[in-house]
Amino acid sequence: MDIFIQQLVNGITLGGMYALIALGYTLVYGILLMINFAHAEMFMVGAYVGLFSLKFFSDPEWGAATLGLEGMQQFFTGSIFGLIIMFAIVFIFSGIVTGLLGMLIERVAYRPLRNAPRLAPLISAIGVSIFLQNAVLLWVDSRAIAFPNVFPVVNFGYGINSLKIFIVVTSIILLIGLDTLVSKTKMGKAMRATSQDRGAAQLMGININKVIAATFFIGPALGAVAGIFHGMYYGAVIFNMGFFPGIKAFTAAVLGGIGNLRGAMLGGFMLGIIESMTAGFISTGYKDVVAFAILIIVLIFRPGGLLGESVVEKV
Amino acid sequence: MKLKTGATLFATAMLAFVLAFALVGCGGDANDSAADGVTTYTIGVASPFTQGSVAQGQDIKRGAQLAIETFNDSDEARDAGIQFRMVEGDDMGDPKTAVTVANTLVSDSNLIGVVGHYNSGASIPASKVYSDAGVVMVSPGSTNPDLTRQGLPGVFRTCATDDLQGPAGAQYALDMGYTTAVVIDDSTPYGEGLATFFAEAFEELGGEVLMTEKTKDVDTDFNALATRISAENPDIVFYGGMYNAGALFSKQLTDAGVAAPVMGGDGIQEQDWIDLAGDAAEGDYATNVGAPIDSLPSARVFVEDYEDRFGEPAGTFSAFSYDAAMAIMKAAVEASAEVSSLTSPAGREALLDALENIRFDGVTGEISFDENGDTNNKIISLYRVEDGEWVFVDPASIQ
Amino acid sequence: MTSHLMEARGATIRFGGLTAVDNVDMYVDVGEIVALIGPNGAGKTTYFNMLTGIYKPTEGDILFNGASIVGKAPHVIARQGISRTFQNIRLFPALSAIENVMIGRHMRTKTGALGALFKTPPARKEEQQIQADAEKWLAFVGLSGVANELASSLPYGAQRRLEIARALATEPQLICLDEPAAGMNPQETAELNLLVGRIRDAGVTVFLIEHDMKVVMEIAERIYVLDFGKLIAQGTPREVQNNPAVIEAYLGLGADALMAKHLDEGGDDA
Repeated sequence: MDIFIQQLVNGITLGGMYALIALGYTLVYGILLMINFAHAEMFMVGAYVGLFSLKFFSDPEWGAATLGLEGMQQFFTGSIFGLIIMFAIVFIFSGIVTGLLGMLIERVAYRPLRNAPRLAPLISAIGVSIFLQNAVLLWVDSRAIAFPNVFPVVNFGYGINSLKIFIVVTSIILLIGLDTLVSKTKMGKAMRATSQDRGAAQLMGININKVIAATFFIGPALGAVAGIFHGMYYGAVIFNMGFFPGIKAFTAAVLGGIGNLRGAMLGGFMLGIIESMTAGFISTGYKDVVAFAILIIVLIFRPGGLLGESVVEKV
Repeated sequence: MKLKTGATLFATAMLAFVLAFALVGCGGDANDSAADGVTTYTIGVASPFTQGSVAQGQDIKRGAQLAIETFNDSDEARDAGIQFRMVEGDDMGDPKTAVTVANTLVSDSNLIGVVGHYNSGASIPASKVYSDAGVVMVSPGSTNPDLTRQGLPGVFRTCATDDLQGPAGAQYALDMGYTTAVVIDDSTPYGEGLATFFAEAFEELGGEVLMTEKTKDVDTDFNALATRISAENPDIVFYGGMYNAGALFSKQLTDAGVAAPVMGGDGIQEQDWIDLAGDAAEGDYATNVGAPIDSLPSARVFVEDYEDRFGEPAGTFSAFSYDAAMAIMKAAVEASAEVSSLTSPAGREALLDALENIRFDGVTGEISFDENGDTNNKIISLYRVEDGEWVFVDPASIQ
Repeated sequence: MTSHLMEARGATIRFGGLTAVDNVDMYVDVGEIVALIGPNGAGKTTYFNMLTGIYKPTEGDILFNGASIVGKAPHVIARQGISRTFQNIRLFPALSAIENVMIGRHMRTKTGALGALFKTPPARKEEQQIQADAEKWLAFVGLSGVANELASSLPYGAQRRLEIARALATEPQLICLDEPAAGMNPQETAELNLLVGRIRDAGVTVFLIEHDMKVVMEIAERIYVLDFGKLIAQGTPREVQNNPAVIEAYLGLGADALMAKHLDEGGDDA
């Protein structure tokens, strides 16, 4: 039973990260019917921005201290209060930078192709993905970089620790926040309207470029948060770190029903838990096999995914 | 025996003398023999000198150079009337460049042997060129088992192979009192081989393997596996794989409360292992081919000579290179007792035969080769992370 | 001349070799109900698409309140006061009826995403206002009872009316209705006629495309007739009804009588 709870905790933590990344895929798909393959790189870039801003605030041999701002570093790393402020700054800064990068990519690589055949933006996305990976490879480092170990990890037994709680709680808050944004706010309604009928939305006075830009800000910003979690949780970042989590998160989005936000969240947590349980009770080698087998079974019975739109239409 | 050798030597010297005259008379220069009856043969040294692992390349070059200088000065060489000349070839650690270097080297008809290359990726394609040309090759640093398993005659090495690391690790683990192990690999040929050999040897030597499991070299999440391992409570966790995924595994093991150290092969003995795993790396073990040179009793004289000659301490590969060059030269002397010229087909045959059967006390231990051309002197060392650094563990200290 | 609410001058659009709308001059004045008719493929919907910014005219100009709207994005034109419905209904199917109408309201409000997310008092007040306005427009088209139902689950006639409510919610000066009576039964058509009158009475100018001659003759004050992209006739229903070019366009040569009968039926009720 102890082991079961521990594996569940492992799975939920992993699932929270998948869910955050999956939202980026599903948001873009919902609005543009496009699979943004560069989204995995948003996760990676977010992790790097987080890494360097965290180093700037906390590493005595790097960043702020070398500029004569040791006092600031001491404030941030010296107390719980300082740490909270530091992490808040790091997450928000990384989210904004990555979000802006997402908007830039949309503007440069996708918008010119919006009316092109659907394969064109897909190829463009793969191009962006390769470009970003290589940019980090060449300009930052080809090797894995250790993530600053400044988060105070306190163990509570059953494999539960303060970092896992932080990741899961923050993920859930962000998921609820996004759900509220989309279901309750003006921008969210505009996003839903745009995803359902872009032309009609425009004629109702909705600036779809703005809505799409917002989508390309929100998705990468959440991806960046997941990237920082990934760095904190596993202790390292590397230029190609986005690839597998990206594929898993995309799978989660499809499992839940691509285009459906709650589906992406559900899919993310499900996938994380399935992987952990399989690795924990069957075999590590089978975790992907089982995860994808479940995906295929779900798609056979519900082609639109668990909460997908085709299901809604049938109801 | 001695008499016979003396007679042969004399005959050889006479023949060389006559031949030298004949050649000088013809104005030819195919043979570099000097007028005083001494034959000079070429030994190539091929390694990365300007790109890639240049530090190891430098060690290899100097080791060979010291060996040639020492040997040329010895009675053994003088009595045989043979001298050696060194020619360098810079392969930049690159397979294609290595083939070009090999072709350039064998175009010298006086070349009888090559010390090199360093990278397995360079040694394997180059070995074909040497073998075809009848030139022997002794690698001081290529550890990939495939090098000597291509069925090519004349390919040798003085360093141990990767596949010995698993069994050596198992022996070390048991010597240190770790009797139960969990064995994990990363599903790559390297990692899988290492882990399989470790597990087999560990059980054969009396240890108990509690669990084996496969991961992938691209995995980052090992939490579920770590939780499982914590339930097994092993003495040691063996990881067959590379440092980047393995370091994350080591960290997650510690996070999951596994106190047992991780052991791996040379793939994890990197500073990055310590940087990425952080405090969790402390106490982890790695085996590696070769040994720090000052830990070998047989190398004491060599270490002093080397430092006198080059003003810098000898590296591991300078010792393997020294022994590689010595093996070629000693074999050359032996072979030259039987044939007039080592550059003739019969001479090359004789040299190969002599090298296959060579046995002498080198700086890294007793040098001899098995039927594949691998050294019988298999040195695998153990390292441990102490205070954020990989530190050599003296085998004598393990009990 | 510039006092017209909407005025097209030589508006032309070509798709490759096809001239879909050819040098069309037309205008709509404030408070009018104007109809645009013509056979299938005459270019009526294309003309609406130019007017609302979906297509950009190849040549010519379209003025709204005296200023050119050519080349402006659809959402900009919508904000300037032109709204529309569609021949094939284009509601947001997965939003409720009231949410569809609220979408129409949103561009007339100011609150940003953050304000809305954190429910600041002004944002809350504005949201309540949007809700109230949307309810008002639902009531206007007679759909108060189905406010919270998904748009896609409504009956066809109700969907048509919901589309009109959504368009009205943008507070347009000009509403363009693309075949509002299509697919409606006589009862619904009669209600629609009344609704169009009420829209005009509410101060919104109406410009509609319609196939149902009965509807056109009953409610339109002026009619433009397009055929193969060209404007072939204009005037009051009576004038157009008796125009031989119109009759020919509709039914070809030799079918005059039939057309006249058809138009007469529509005209009788007027």
